[in-house]
Amino acid sequence: MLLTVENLDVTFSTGDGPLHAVRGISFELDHGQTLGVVGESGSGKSVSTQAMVGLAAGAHVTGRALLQGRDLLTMNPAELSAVRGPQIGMVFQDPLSSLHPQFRIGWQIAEAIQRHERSSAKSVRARVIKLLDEVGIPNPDKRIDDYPHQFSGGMRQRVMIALALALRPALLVADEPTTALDVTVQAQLLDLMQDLQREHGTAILMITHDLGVVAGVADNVITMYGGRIVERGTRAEVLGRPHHPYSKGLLGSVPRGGSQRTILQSIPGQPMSLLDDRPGCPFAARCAFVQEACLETFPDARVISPTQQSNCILPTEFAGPVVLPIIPAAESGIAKTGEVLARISDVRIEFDGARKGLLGLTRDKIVAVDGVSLDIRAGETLGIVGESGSGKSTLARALTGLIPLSGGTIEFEGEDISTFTTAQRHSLRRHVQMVFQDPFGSLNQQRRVGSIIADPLVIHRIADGRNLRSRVQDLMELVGLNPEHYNRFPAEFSGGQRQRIGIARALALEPKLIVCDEPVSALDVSIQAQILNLLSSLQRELGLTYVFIAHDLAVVEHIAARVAVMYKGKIVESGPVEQIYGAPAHEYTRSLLAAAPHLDDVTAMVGASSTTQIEEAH
Amino acid sequence: MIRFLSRRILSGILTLIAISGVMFLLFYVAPNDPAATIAGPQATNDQIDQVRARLGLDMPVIERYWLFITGLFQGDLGYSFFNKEPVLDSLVRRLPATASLAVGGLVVALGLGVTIGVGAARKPGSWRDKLGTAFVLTGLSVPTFVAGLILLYVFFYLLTVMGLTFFPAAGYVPFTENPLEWARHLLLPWITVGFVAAATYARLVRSQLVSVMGEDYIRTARSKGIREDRVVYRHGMRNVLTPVVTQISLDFAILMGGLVVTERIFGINGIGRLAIDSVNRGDQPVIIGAMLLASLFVVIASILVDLAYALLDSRVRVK
Amino acid sequence: MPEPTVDAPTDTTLDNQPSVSAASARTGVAARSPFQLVWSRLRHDPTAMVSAVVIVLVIVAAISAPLISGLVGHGPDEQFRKEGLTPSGLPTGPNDQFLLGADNLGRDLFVRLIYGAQLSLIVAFVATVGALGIGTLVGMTAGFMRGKVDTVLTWFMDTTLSLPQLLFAISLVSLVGPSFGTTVVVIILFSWAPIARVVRGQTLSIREKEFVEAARSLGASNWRIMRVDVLPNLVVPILVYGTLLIPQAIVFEATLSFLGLGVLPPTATWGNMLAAASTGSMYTIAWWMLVFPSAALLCVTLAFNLLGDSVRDALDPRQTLFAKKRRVTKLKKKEIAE
Repeated sequence: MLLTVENLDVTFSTGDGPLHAVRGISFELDHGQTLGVVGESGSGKSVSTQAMVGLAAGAHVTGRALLQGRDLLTMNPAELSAVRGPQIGMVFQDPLSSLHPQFRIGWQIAEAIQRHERSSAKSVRARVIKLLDEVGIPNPDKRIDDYPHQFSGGMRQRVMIALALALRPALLVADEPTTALDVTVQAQLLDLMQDLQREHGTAILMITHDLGVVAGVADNVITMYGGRIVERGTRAEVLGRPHHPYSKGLLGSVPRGGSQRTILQSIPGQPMSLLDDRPGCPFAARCAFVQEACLETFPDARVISPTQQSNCILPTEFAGPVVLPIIPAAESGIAKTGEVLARISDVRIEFDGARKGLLGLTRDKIVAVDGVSLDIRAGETLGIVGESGSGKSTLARALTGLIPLSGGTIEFEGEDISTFTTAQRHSLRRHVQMVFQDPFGSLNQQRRVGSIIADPLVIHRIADGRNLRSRVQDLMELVGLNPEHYNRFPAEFSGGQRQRIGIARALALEPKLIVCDEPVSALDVSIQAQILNLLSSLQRELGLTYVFIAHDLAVVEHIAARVAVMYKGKIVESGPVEQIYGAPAHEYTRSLLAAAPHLDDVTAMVGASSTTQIEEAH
Repeated sequence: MIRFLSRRILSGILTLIAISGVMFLLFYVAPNDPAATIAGPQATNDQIDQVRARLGLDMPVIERYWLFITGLFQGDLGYSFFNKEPVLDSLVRRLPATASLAVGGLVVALGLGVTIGVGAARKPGSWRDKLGTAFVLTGLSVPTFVAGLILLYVFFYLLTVMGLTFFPAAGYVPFTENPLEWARHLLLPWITVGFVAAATYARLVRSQLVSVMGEDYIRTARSKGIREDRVVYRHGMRNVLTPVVTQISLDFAILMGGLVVTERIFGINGIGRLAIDSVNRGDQPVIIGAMLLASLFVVIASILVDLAYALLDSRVRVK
Repeated sequence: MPEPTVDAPTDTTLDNQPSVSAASARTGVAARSPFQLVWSRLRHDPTAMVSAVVIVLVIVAAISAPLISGLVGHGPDEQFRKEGLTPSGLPTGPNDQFLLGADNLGRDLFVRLIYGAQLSLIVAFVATVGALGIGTLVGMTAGFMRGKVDTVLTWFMDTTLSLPQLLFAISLVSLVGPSFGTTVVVIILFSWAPIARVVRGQTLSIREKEFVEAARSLGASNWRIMRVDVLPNLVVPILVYGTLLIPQAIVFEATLSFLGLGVLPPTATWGNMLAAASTGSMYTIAWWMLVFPSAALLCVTLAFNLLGDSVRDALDPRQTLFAKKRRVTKLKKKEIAE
């Protein structure tokens, strides 16, 4: 066994009391294998590995972590630093900030080699070039002297992989290595890591919140919640026939290909706080099957199969694939596409770029949106998909009149909004509203929730006094918030609840069109499903029209009836979801779809062979 | 880079012209009449008018300003009302003393500030950090003149009373004359100027280094197995350099103020002393000259710092 | 508005049941305004409390200066040539009649020190309020308007910052003549620019926040956005800067008075008391003339600086000195980012 972790426990002391981040976890990882560690925010998945290698400052760590027979937790800092590099390599989430901005990339890799091995500068340089070549950096002999900012995000992550694997460690810890990257880049990087693993026999500890990533690369999977491992098993077992209600809930929360017209099985409630040190199962507060015993002690592992264990008191038979309920066809959004509500014709948007000339009096132009035409029909959901920099968010802001157009027209109910007077533009706000991406940034922290939601009503002089308060409380109830929390501050709400506040604010003026700019991308999977379901049910109840912008293909497929694919400021393809996802015509769409991780492949593979298919009891 | 430099130099020249303009305007609207001051209290109106004509004060202010600006571009700052010496000459003569004081003070400030800042930042919350914070807050609370007076009292007066005269009370010896004496005379003034400015640098280095040490790329360096000392001094300090260099330019104007007081306390005949004396004598050309010279230093320092900034940051240097 | 029942197969309504995390409910953080939070942090910070007590004491002493002067029986500018000076004309040291000794003219140092406090504090408060007002207005306008307005205002800020302050101040004072008003104006003149710079930077970053964009998409006017969304978020830096500006103003005033360009004698200020101590090296014979005014000056500026530091820590716990706390907030942020 390469790595054996026994009873690892990590605590931080904080001003608010001890924060028990990891609560006695044990697992093993063998040479050449990939172990996927899945969990949401606060599950302790990142902290546990960082504490193990001595990178979590201020952590109190107990237990044992044997790497090739030596306990990492009893090593002094000097011994540990001698292990990091030659025996354990690490890749982190954000490639933009993980490399030192002021040193050449070649120097940064060479530094790692020279710290642990004696060799001449010349031979080290040759080795670095070879490493860069291996991870697929073109012209490595020239690019070795470049700085990080001269590389794209994906390329920087390749450099990080070269750095982590420079000394051929037996273990690679990959902490959300592809989370910050576009899907196409993610797929390439996962392929690269697997190639290198096969070649060098490296074991990979893959920490991720993305079930699709795990489905693609892991041999074995661990599910973590609230600092504990709740389920473990082979990839096929945990993803195909999960036993623990949390694993099931996670799988039910993820939109996947072909899941349109299904309702996502969101997990109710909010992620637990690690400051909360109650005994029992951490998931008990959100579990639909909770029993008395769950509140007292954390259940022992129940053996589901020789390789699968679940820390849950439910009977073994509970293990089975997750099947999502389907909305009756009549209720689906596709049936009721009405007349054109808004029409985007040949829209072009430019921004000022770098200064030019001796005194910098003139500037370059950057084209963000380049000749886009789209119709938005009343009552439908139009999805716009694209990777970062495709111009999709710029288009969204132009649609709400926040950004002036450089060319083309946007008509709303037949009127060109660019010719609007200030007063007309003001009244346009009543019909077109926006839901933003960042649940933290889109609410002013200094104001009470009630007054945030009341803002549109006050600005448009629709309600005041007592009337205003009751309107706001109605809105809060509508989006599933407790109206009594009227006087609280945004900081007291979780990410999902804040997004509900944002939705309530957007609904206040009873708009016809709501532009949602990546409304779920900053949320945990289980919360993401809650918000998507809320948006769907609101649309059914209020007859709203949505323009839904996202980078996640599966999310768009789940919620939209029609979809437009954006690439470098242009729409390369648009049409009904079935057509685009089933028979993509444009090459870019095809590569996007191919790159998206497919959870279905694994679940289908197991589901076919499984004998017990249990319908969800939700 | 050239574009950037040309913009900076242009705005620097504009700043200097604006400052001289404001000064001229202020002197023009000011209630007191320099001609009367110079002519003396017993002078008759005729005598005052004579003085006014001799000094060129009878010309319209616009015309005087125009003469001044054209002179400026030829390196002519006019003549002192008081002793008729060319302003430029008297400034240049006092420059070495002031420059010695400024540069030495800055060196003390940087050395002390960076050392304390790094020490505090390596272990936030430790006793070293708390001492560092105490130093910073004291430094920020003590006016330069109080620091100077206390230093004089302790290191000059008390030592002399005890029979150990090491530090002189006042004076300046040119470096070219006797480097050792030069340093001996300037040591206390350097500490005075440096101590107060050091607080700013200690605080800056501490806060910057603490935040840099939380960056992802520091975690990367540690994950490579780099030793902690090297992580701090090589990887961490590399990114603290830029804000420190920026602070130097911001500090320059404040440092100049420190010089005025320090020169007075330690009896150093530098530009600050000249400025105060000229203020008391109503010697307008010298005041304007000293102001412009000081502003010129500030402007040059800020341009140099911007240049250094560009050179230090790979993101600016390599496009 | 219709009242749809959101009871679809999913239980979105369950979302708000455990709502606020158990921990915050337990520690009672819930439903407390940010201001209350800051106040409770400050109350538990000994440094802040001690500094606050020192400041309050000094303020009380300054206000009751005439009372104290009456009790002691010495006016601030009264010269006691017989009692306060030795036969050879040197000031007497601290004794039961002159608590902190007498100065070179035989005046009571203690009474003068308290009157000096009065003046120092008034100058500092007035100058700080003025500088904060101008700085906030200019910084906010520049940051919010951007474009040409910003270019011009920023140029003004930079020029003010690159002026050799003290030199400029003394030439200014020499023209207008030293007085209380001149001192305040001069301090404001050189203090607004750094505030404006900070406020401008903050405003620039606030106006890029999504909540400002949200307000815009709701149809809020620029004026409303400035008032409702920008200004409340500026309170923190303004407050912090304000507490740190007071000691700077006290030091500035003392320096001007020391150079004989601030408030003129015989009115007592800490600066001109120290100037008297340094003239002709008086302090070598009368150490109390140097020590007590210096100590008073230091105590007050230090108290304000310490309080300012604590206020900043309390307002922004991420900046706190205690490493572990910091680290955890950072970890939490990371986890959120996941």
